[in-house]
Amino acid sequence: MNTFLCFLFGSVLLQLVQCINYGAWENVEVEQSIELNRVSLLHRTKYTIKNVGDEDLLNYFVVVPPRHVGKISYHSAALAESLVTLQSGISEDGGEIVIVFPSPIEPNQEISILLMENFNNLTTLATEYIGIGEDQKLLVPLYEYPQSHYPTKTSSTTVLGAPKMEFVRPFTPKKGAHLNVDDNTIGLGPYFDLDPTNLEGSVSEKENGLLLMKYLFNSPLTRVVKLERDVWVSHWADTVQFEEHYDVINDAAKLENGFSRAEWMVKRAAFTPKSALVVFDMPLPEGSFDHYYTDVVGMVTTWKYLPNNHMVLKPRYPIFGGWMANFTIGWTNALGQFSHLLNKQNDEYLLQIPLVNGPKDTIYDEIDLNVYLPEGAKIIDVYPPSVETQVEYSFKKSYFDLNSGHLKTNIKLSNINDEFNYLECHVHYQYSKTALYSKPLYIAMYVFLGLLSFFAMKRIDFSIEKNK
Amino acid sequence: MVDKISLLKTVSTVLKVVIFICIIGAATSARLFSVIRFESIIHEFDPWFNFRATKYLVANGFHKFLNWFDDRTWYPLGRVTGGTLYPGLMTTSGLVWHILNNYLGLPIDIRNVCVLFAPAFSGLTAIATYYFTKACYHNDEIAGFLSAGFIAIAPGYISRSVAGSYDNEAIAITLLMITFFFWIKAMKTGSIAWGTFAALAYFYMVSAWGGYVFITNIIPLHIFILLLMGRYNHKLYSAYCTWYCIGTLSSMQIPFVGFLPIRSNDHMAALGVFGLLQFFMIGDYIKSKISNDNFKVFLKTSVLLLILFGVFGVVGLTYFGLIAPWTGRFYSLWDTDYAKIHIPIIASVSEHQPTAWPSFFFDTQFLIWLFPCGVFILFSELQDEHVFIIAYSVLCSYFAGVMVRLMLTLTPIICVSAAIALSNVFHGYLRVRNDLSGQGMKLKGFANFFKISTKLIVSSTFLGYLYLFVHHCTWVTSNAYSSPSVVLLSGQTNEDGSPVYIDDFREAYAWLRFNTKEDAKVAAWWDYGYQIGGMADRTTLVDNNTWNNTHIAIVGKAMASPEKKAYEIYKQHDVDYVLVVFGGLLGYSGDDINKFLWMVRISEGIWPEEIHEPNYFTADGQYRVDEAASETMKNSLMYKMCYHDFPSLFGNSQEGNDRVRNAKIKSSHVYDLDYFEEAFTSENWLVRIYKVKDLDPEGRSWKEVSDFEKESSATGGNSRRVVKKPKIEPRLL
Repeated sequence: MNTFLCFLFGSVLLQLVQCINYGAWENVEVEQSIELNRVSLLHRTKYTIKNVGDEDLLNYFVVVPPRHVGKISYHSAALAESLVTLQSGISEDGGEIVIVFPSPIEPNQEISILLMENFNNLTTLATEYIGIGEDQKLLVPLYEYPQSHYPTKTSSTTVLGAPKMEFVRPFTPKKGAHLNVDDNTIGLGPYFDLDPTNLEGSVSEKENGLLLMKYLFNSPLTRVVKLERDVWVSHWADTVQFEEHYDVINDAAKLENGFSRAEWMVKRAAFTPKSALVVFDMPLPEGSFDHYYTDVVGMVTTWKYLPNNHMVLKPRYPIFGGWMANFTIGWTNALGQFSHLLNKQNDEYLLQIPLVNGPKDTIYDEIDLNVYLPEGAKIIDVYPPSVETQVEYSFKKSYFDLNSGHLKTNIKLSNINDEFNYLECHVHYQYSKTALYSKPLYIAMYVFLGLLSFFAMKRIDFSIEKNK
Repeated sequence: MVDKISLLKTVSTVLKVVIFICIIGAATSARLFSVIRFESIIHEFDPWFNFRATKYLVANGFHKFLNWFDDRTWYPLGRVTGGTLYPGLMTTSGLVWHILNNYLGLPIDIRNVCVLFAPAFSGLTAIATYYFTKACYHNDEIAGFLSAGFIAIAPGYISRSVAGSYDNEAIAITLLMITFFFWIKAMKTGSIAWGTFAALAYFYMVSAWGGYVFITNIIPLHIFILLLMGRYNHKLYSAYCTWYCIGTLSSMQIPFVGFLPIRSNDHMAALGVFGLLQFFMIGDYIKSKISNDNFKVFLKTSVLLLILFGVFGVVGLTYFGLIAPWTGRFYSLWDTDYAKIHIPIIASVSEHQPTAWPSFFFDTQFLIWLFPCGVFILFSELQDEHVFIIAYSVLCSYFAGVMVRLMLTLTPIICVSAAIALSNVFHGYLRVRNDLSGQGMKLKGFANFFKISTKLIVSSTFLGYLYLFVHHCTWVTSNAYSSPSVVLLSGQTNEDGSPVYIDDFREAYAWLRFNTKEDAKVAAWWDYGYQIGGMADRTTLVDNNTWNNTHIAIVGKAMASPEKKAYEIYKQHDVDYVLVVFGGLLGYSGDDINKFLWMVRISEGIWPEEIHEPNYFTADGQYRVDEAASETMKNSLMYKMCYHDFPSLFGNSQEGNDRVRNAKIKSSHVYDLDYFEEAFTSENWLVRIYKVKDLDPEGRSWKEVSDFEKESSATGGNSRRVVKKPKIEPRLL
C-alpha cells in the first residue's frame, strides 16, 4: 500500500523548523473529497500549487483546522502524477501537516500533490438517545472552502458516501459558488480567489467557513479502547500463536428507554441491528487453525470460522450505544507464513507480523503489540510501522522457561483504525541451534535432578531403633 | 530362590505402581467430562466464592488473605471473609499454583489450577483409601486396591469432585481418609508419631472443611465404644491423647474455628472422652495397686460422680453461655422437620433435604448391598480397628439418610466395607488354580466340577458386577454430575453438529461487569451472590454464605413486597440493580418464582406482621401465577419483574405461556413497573436485571410520575413517554 509508505517512513520531525517560514506558495487549485461511509473519515485533497516567490521551496504546509487537531489517525502525501510518496509529518501542536519535496521547487514552478488524511472520532452524535431500531444520525464538521496559509485561486469540495446528508443550519455558499445536493453526494464550489485563512484566535471558525452536517449512519461506531495483541513464536512447534484481548465500546447513540428484550425480539431488530453491534467479523491470516473465543467470564460459544478466513464472533449481548464488551480470541498459524530465514549461517530470521487483524470499520485508541520470541533468541532489529512508535524489550516466562524466559518486544500504538490491517511490523532476530536444543536438555536436566533428589531422600534414615 | 523372591517383589511393586497409576488415571479422567463437554469452568455457586478467594490469595498474599475484609458482599455490613472461611482449600491451590509457576516453569492460570484441583485430589483420596483399608483389614492388599478403585469412580464422591467443582469437599474427603488412616495406625501401634500425623492431618482437615466436626466426634466415639467394650489399653491412651491435644491446639489456630473446640457443644464429646481416658488410665493404675473388691467400690462411685459431673457440667456451661449450644444444622440432623419449622434458610437448600432412597443406588450402585456384608464381616471379627469402621458406617448411614449432602461422607466407608466384602468373595472364589492343577484336589469327578463351576460362576458374577459398576459410574458421572449449572445445554445442535449452549447467566453477569459502575450494588436472591461476586465483580447484598438471616430476609421481603415498599427498602440499602432469574420462557424450573415461597417464609420469620405466606396463595390454597394468582402475588416485586413485558412477546394475543408452571400470563395481570426499569434481559430471558430509578427530581413518587405520564398521554399530551434513562457507565477492566 503506497498510501502507507509515508507512514512507514514515519512522521518526520519537521517541527524542528524553529522559525516557521511557510514560503510563498499559491494554491492554483484545491479539490477536496470527504468520504463519510465509515467510522473513520477520509479526506482526499489534490493541491495544485505554484511557487510564486523568488526562492526555491522545499516544504509545503497544510493547515489542520482546530476541530481536526489530534484526530488524524494517519496521513500520506504523494506526487499526483507519479504517485511517488512524499515525506510528511504533523507539527508538534498538531495544527499543520508539513510536506517535504524530494528536491526544491523553483520559482514559478507548478506541482500537484495528493494528500490523504484519515480521521478518528471526528463525528459526534446528532441525537444522544434513540429507540431500539431507530435511525442514527451523526454530525460532522466541514469547511466550506479549504483552510490554507496560502491564497487559493480555485477550490471545490465533494462530500460523499452517506445518505440523507443535510446541513444543520441552511446556508448560501459565498462568492457565488454552487451547492449541489444529491442523494448521496454534496458538491460545494467552485470558489475563486480565496485569501489565506486567518487562524488567529479572534476569528471564529464560523467566519472561516465551518459548517455542521448531519447524515444518516446506521452502523455501530465500534471503538476498541484497548487491544492487547500477543504473538508467540515457537520454533519447536513450528507455529505462531496469536492472542488478542479486546475492550470494545460502541460509541453509537444510547438507548432511550433502556433495553427492552421484548421490543428487541418483537421488532426482530437483531436482523437489522442498525447502530447496535451484534457481530465482529475478524479477517484472520490465511491457514489459521485452533481458534478460540473467550471473555473474562469464560468461553463464548457463539462464533464460526468461515472458509474465507474470517472468524465471525457474536458477542454475548447486542452492544448498544454506550455499552461495552470484552473478549479474547486466539488462533495459530504455521511459522513459515510469518518467519523467514534470512541467513542460514547465523540463524537469522525476519518475522513479519500483521499489525492488527481486527474487524472492519473500527477505530483503536490504544494497541499493545507484544511479540514473544523463544527463550534464547536475540533481537537484531525491530521495524515498527512508525519511527515514533515506542518499542520496549523485556522477558516473560512461559511454559518450561527455566532460564530468562521468552524475549518480549512491546510495541505501543495509539489512535489508529482498521486501515492498519494492511500494515506489518518486522522483527529481525537470531535464534541459534544451540538455543533451540538447550531447551529440552534443560527440561531433562531438571527432571533428572528431581529424580535424583527423590532417590537421595529415600536413602535418608530417621529411625531410632537401629536393630530390629 | 532369593533371586526369584526379589524378582517377584519387583514385579509386585511394578504392578502396584501400575495399578495406582491406572486408578489415579481413572479417578482423574472420569471427572473431566465437564471440561470436555463444556470448558474449564468453575461450577455452581460455592466454588465461585472459593475461586474468588483463591484469586485474592494469589494476588495479595497469605497475610492479607487472612485479614481480608470483603466490603463487596453483604452490603452494607461487609464480611470478615478472612476470619470466616476455611482457608485450607485456597491455600493448597495457591501453593500448587505457586510451585507450578515459580519452580516448575509451568505458568498455569489459577483458574485451571482450581478447576482441576478436585480431580487431582481424588487420585490422592484413592491412595489414602487404599492405605486406610489395608490398615483396617489385615493388611489385605486386594481389599485396599478394590476400595481405592471404588472410591476413585464412585458417583457419591464424584458428585462433589468433578473438574470445576472447586469446593471444600474436594480436598476434605482426601484429608478425611488420610486422617483416618493415621488414626488407625496410631491406635493400633500406640505410636506418638502416628498420633501426631493424625493430629496434623486433622488440623489440615479443620482448615479445609466445616465437616471436620465429623472427625472430632467419630474418633472419640471409636474410643468410647472400645472403652465400653473393655478394651482400654495404653496404645489407645497415647494415640488419643496425642491426637486430641495436638489436634485441638492446632485446630484453634484457624481463625474461623478459634475457641470453638473448648466452647462448642459439637466438640464436647472429644473433650469428654479425653477426660474419660484419664480416668481409665488412673483406674488402671489404681487397679494394679488395690484389691479387686475395693476397686469395684471405687469404680461405681467414680463412674456415678463422673456422669453427674459430666451432665451437670455440660448443662451448666451451656446454661451460662460458656459453651455454645448446638448449631441449627446439628439439630436438623436429629429432627428433619426442625429446620423447616425454625430455620427456613437451612431447609431451603436442596442439598439439606433428606435423601431419597434411589440416591443410594444411584450414587454407589452394587456397593450399597455389599456394604452391610462388609460391616457384617467386620462385626464377626470385631477387632479394635473394625469397631471404627462399624461406628463410622452406622453413624454415617443415618446422617446420609437425613441430608443428601452427607452421602459424600458415607461413600468412602461404603467403598471400604464393600471392598472388604468383595475381597473375601475373591479370596474364596477366585482362587481356582489349585483346584485346576490338582494339587489341592481332594474331590473327584462331578464334585470337583461343581466346585470349580461354583467358583467360576460366583467370580464371574462379581466381575460382571464390577463391569456394570464401572459402566454405571461413567454413565452417572457423564449425565448427572458433569454440568457446571452456569452453562446449560439446549439439546439442540448447530449445523456442524456442535451443541447449542444456553449461556444466559454469563451473558447477564458479563453485562453487569462491563456496563455498570464499579461500585454498583446488586440485589438478588442469595443463591446468585457468589456468582455475581465472581463473574460480575459487583457488590451484593446477600450471598451463599448465609451468615446473616435478617439480611437475607430483607432481600426476601423486598422481593415479596409491593413495588413502592420494595423501592424504599432497596433505596435504604443503596441498591442500583435488582437481578431476578426467570425460567418461564425457557422452561428452567430452578427459577426465582419457584424459590419465591422461601423468600416469603424467610422474611415472614422476621416480619410476621408484614409478610403472610397464605396471601401468596389463591383462596383455595394453590400457588398460581396466572389469572388466578392472588393480588398480593401479582403486586409483589418478584412477580412484576419476572413477567414484565413477558406477554407482549407472544404477539397480538397478549398472552404468554409460562413453560415452567404451565400457566397463561395475560398482559392485564402483569402490572406496570413504576419504580424500576428494565436494564437488561438475557437472550432466553433467564436473567433479568432492573435498574432502581433515582429519586424523582421533583420529589414525587414514581407512581405519581407514571400516573401523570399515562394521564397526559391519554389526554393527547406528549405521547412520547419521558423516562429518565438508566445511567449506564462503561468501565475498563
